[in-house]
Amino acid sequence: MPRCWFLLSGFLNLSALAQPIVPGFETLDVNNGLSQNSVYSIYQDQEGFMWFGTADGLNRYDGDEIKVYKTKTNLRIRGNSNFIRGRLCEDQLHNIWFCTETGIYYYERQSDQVKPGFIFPELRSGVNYYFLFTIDSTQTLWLGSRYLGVYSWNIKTMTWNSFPLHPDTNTNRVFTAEREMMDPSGNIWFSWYQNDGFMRFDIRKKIFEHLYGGKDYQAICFGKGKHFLSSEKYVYRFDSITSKLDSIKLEKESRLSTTFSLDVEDSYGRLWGSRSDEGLYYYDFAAGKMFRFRKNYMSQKSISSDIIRSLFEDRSGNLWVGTDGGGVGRLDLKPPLFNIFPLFEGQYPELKDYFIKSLFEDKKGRIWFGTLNGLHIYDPAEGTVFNYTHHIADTHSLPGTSVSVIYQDKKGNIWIGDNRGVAIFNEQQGKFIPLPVDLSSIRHFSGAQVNKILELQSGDLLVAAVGHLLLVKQDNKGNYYSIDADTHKVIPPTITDITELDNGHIWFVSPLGGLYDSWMINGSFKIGESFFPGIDFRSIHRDEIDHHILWIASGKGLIRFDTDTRKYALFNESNGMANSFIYGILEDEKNNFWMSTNGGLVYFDRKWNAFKNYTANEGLQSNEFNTGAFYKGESGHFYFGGVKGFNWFGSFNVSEKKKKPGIGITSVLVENVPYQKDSLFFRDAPIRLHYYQNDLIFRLAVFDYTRPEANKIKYRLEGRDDDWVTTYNKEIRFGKLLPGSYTLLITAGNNADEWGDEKKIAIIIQSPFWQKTWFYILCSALLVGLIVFITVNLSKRKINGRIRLLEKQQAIDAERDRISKDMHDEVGSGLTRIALMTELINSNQGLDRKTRTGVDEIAGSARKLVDTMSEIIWALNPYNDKLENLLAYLREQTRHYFEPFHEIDYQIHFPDQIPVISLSNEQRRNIFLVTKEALNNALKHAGATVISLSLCLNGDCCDFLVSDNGKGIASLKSRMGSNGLVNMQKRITEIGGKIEWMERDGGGTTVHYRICF
Amino acid sequence: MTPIVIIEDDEKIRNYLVALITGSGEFDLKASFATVEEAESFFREGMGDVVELILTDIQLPGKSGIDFINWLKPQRPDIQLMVLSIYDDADKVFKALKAGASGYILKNTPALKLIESLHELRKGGSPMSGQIARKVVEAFQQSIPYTDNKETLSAREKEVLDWLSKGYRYQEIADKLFISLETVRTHIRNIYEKLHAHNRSEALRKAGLR
Repeated sequence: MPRCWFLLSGFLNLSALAQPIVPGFETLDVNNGLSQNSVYSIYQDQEGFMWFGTADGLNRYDGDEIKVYKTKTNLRIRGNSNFIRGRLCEDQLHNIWFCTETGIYYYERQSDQVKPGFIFPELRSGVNYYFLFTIDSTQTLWLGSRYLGVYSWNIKTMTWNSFPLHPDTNTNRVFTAEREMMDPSGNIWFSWYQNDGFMRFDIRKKIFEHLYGGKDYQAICFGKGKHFLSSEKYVYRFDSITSKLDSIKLEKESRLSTTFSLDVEDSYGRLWGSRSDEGLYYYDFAAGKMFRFRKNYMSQKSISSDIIRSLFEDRSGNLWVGTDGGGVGRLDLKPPLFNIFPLFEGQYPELKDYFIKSLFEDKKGRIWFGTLNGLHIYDPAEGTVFNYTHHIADTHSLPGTSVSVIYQDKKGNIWIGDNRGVAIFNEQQGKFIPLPVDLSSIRHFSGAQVNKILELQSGDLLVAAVGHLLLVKQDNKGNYYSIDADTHKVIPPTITDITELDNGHIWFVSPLGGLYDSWMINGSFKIGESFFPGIDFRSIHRDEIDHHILWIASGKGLIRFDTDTRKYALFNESNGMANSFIYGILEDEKNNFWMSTNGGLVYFDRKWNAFKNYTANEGLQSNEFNTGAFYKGESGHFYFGGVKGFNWFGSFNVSEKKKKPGIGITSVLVENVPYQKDSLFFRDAPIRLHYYQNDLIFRLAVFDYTRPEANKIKYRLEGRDDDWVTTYNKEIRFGKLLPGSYTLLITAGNNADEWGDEKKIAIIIQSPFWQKTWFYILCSALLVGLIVFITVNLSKRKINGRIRLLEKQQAIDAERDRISKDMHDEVGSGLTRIALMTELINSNQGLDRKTRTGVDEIAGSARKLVDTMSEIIWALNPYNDKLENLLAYLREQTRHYFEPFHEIDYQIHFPDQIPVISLSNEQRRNIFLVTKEALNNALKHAGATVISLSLCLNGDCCDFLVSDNGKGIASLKSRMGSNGLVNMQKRITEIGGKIEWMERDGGGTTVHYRICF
Repeated sequence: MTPIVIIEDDEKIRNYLVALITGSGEFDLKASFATVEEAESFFREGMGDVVELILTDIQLPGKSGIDFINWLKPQRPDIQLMVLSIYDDADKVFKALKAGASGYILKNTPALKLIESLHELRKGGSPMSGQIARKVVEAFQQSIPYTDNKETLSAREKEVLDWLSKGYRYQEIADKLFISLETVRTHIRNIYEKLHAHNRSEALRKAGLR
C-alpha cells in the first residue's frame, strides 16, 4: 500500500535529549529599516539597545524600530566611511565606537549623532582594512589589520600607536583569519596561516606570541572559564580551572573540511560557529552532537543566509546572527515554554490543514495527530511527518477523512476513529482494518463521526459515535465485532466523552442531554440521574486522587462534580480564567490541571485556586483549541491541539530564571519637537518645560528581544492619573498638562509576563510667571497699594479742596474783616477828632449857650457814632461768635448804659450754664441791637423804675425777655412810633426769630423775642 | 504831680491831650512825641528817667506803640504804660496789655472822664472788659510747662477773671465774692503783672532761652 511520507528539510539531528531550541529565526533586513543587509558586528549596549554595524552604516534597534546612523562623507574622502569593520565598543560615557575604512567614529549618546574620532593616517581597504576589537579600561581602542599588526588609539589622549607584526622571517608566513578572537583578558588572537596555531597579541605587554602551533587547530573561541578549539575531526574544550582538555570526536557528517570559526559559547553551554558560506552550526555538549542551520527558501523562519559574519547573545537569551546579504536574524536560545507544531504555516505543504482533532503519543515518543484530512505521525527528534489519508481505491487505507480519535487499548492495538467508523491501524503494514459492523443492529452508520473510544473494565470497548453507541467485543478467534450498546435507546445521541468510575458506573457527557450516570445490566445501559441538560459539554476528566470527583469541561467553564454527593462547583472567567470555553483537561503530577480553551491554555493551580493563562504570545499554535485534541503521554508530556496545529510540553520550565526586561526612552517629543536625545540624562535631571510646552510624547523601548511584539509597558503619570495603564503601544502621549510637578513611572513587561524595574522621570512644567505664587502676591500687594494710593489721593484731594474752599472763605472773611476794621478805624478816628475838637471849641469861654449846646450836640453825635462803630467791630470779630460772649457783652454794655440812671433798678438774669452755641455776625448784631432798643424803650418811653433783661433756654431756642413796670404797650406804640417796632420786627425775622410785645401782669410791657438754632 | 509823656501822631488830638493834661494841674507833661523813634531817643538820652506814666497810641507811623512798650518795659518795669485806643477792641488792646501796658484809655472819652480814668489807672489798672478778661484766661491756658508761681494765676484770681469774662462789673464781683472793691482791683492789678511776666517768659521760650 502506498505510503506517503515527506522528509522535513531545514533540520538535522535535533535530539530530544539536547536542550531544545525552537528553530525559528526572526530576520531584520532592509525591509525592516536596516541600512544594509551585510551585518558585520552586533552589540547590545549597557542600556539595552541592539546595535548592528553593516557595510553601510550603523543601526540601532529598540525592539520596534531601527534607527540608522551614518557618518558624513563627501567625494574627497577616499574609502567608505560607513563600512563598519570589526566590533562595536562602548566607552565609559556610553558612546559606541566603531571603525570603518576611513577612520574611527563614535555614536555620541548625548547628541544622538555619529561623530569622527580619528581619521586613519593611510587608507586601508581590501584585506588590509582596520577592524576594531575592543576597548580597555584605560579607554584605549584596540584595532587590528590583517597581515600587518595591532594598533591602538586612546580616546582621552587621542594618541595613535602601532604594533606591527613582521612576517615570520623563517617561513615568511603571515597570519590570516576568518575571524579574530578576543580572550577574556582582552588579548587579541589571530589564526596563523595554514592553521598553524594562533598569534596572540598581549595588550598589556604589547608583544606578539605564537601559540598552539603545529596542532592543526582551525579556530579558537573563549567562553566562561574555558576555551574551545576546533580541528577537522575534533572539538576541544579546555577548562581553565581544571586545566582539563576534553576532546570530542566529531561524527563523519559533522566533520568540516574547511576552516570553521568558533564564535560564541551561549549561556546554555552550546558552542556556536560558522563556516564560510555553509551556514550556522552549534555543538551541543550535552547531546554530544553538532547541529546546523542552513538557509531554506521554503521556510519563512529559516536563517536568512548561509554566510555568517557575526554572532552575539543578548541579555534576554537570544542569539543574533549577522549575515552577509541576509540582514540579521534572531534565534531564541531559551528552552521554549511550549513546543510547537508546525513551526510556521507553510512548513509542511503536504498537510492540507492543521486542524487537530486528536492526539496520541506512542512508546517511541512520536506524536500521532489526526486532522480533517488524515492521520499523521510526527517524529520530533527527526522532524519527519508520515501521513495516512483516505484512498478510495485502497480498502486498507484510512476509512474516513477526519480523524477524531486515536486510541490504544491495553493490548496495544491502535484504534482509529474517523467520520466513517472505527478501524484498527497496523503501522508495520501500513494498513487500516475497519471494524465490521453489524448493520442490522444499528440504525444507520454512514456518516457517523466517532467521538470517543474507551476500554471498559470488562475489556470491551465502548465506541461513541454520532447517533449510536457501540460495544466492541472480541470473539474466541480474536476477531472484533460490534454490537449496539444502547438497545433500549436510553443514551442520548452526540456523546462527546465517556468515563468509567471504579464502581463500574459509566458517565457520559452530551452537549444536548447533559451529564448522565449509567451502568450496564445484561449488556445494555440503564440510565440513572442526569444533570445539567443543555450545557455544551466537551470532555470529562476523572480526578486522579478522588475518583468519585468528575471534572467536566464545558462551554460555560470548568465544573467540579461530586458523583457521590451530586454537588458541583463552577469555575470560569470570573475566577481568573482567560476563557470559559474549555475543551480538554489534563492533570499534572501536582494534581493541577492544564486546560485547553478558546482563549489559549489555562493552568489551574488547585492549591491556591489560581489560574494562569497562556496565549499565542507565549508560543501556542493559536488561542483556539479543539474538542478531543488533548493527550497526556506516558512520558509525562502534555499535548494540546487546536485550529493551527498543536503544542506539547514536558515538565513545565517554571524554574527557568526569568529575565526582567529593561525599559528605555528612545525619544521625548515636546510639542512634536525632540527634547533631548539621551535617556541617560533623564535619570538625573527632570524635564523642565515652560507652561506652553505641555504636549509630551514619550517613545519607549522594551529591551527584550525574544518576542518584541508581545512586549508591553505599564505607565502612570503621578500628579495627573492615579491608575496604571498597560499597553502594547510603545508611544505614550500626554497632552495639555497643567503647570506643576509630575513623575512618570514606566515599567516594561516581556512576552513571559516578567516585569522589569520601574523607571522614574520627573517632569516639571513651570507655570507662567502670571500663575506663580510670587506673582499673585505681588499683584495683590500692588492692587492693595493701588487702592490705598487712590483712596489716599482722592481723600487728600477732597480734603485739599475743602481746605482750599475753607481757606478761600477764611481769606474772604479775613479780608472783609480787615477792610471793615480799617474803615472803622478811619471813621472812628475821624469821629473822635470831631468830638475832641468840639471840646476845644467849648473850652473857649466866650461862646454863648446856644452855640455851646449845639457844639455839645455835635460832640454827642460823634461820640455816639464811635460807640456804634465799636459795637459793629465787636459783632464782626469772629472771636465773639459764641452765645456766652454775646451775653457777657450784653451784660457789660447794658450795665454801662444804665450806670448814669441811679433811680432805675436794672436787673440781668442770665442762666449760669450757657451751652456752646455759635452765632453768626448777623445774629449777634441783631440780638444786641434789638435788646438795646427794647431797653431804651423801657428806659425812655415807658417811664419804668424796674427793668429786667432775662434769657431762658428752651432746647435749641433762646427766649429773651425785656420787662419793665412802666406804661403798657399802647403808650409804647404811640411814643415809639410804629417804625421802631417794625425795625425790631425786621431785625428779629431777618435772623429767623420771633418777637412779640405782651402786656405785663401788674402793668408794664414785656418784649419777648425768640431765636432758634 | 505825676511826670507823664504822650505819644500821638495825630496833631489835633495830641494838642488836645496836651492841653487837657497840662490844664488838669495834676500831671506834669514832660514831653510829647509824634513817633516812637522820638520817644526812644528821649529815653535813651536819659531824659525820661523821672517819667512815671506814659500815654501812647498804638498805631503810629514807623514803630507801633506795642513795639515801644516791648522796648521800654524791660528797662523801666516801674513805668506805667497806658494805651490810647479808639475802640476797646480786645485784640489790639490785649496785645499792648500783654506787652506791658497797664491799661487803656479810649480816645473818645470826654475830657473830664479822661483825667479821672488816668487817676484810676494809676491806682489799679484800667477796668478789664469781659473780652479782655477772656483773652487773659486764654493766654494763661496756653501755659508753658515749668513756670513758676509768678506767672500762674491763683485760684482767686482765676475766679475774678471768670466773672469778669462773663461781663460782671468790679462791684458785682466784689459782692459775689464777699470781698471789697479794693481787693478786686488788687487782684486785677496782679493779673496784669502776671500777664506781663507770662508774656516775657513766653518770648524767652520762643527765643529758646527757657
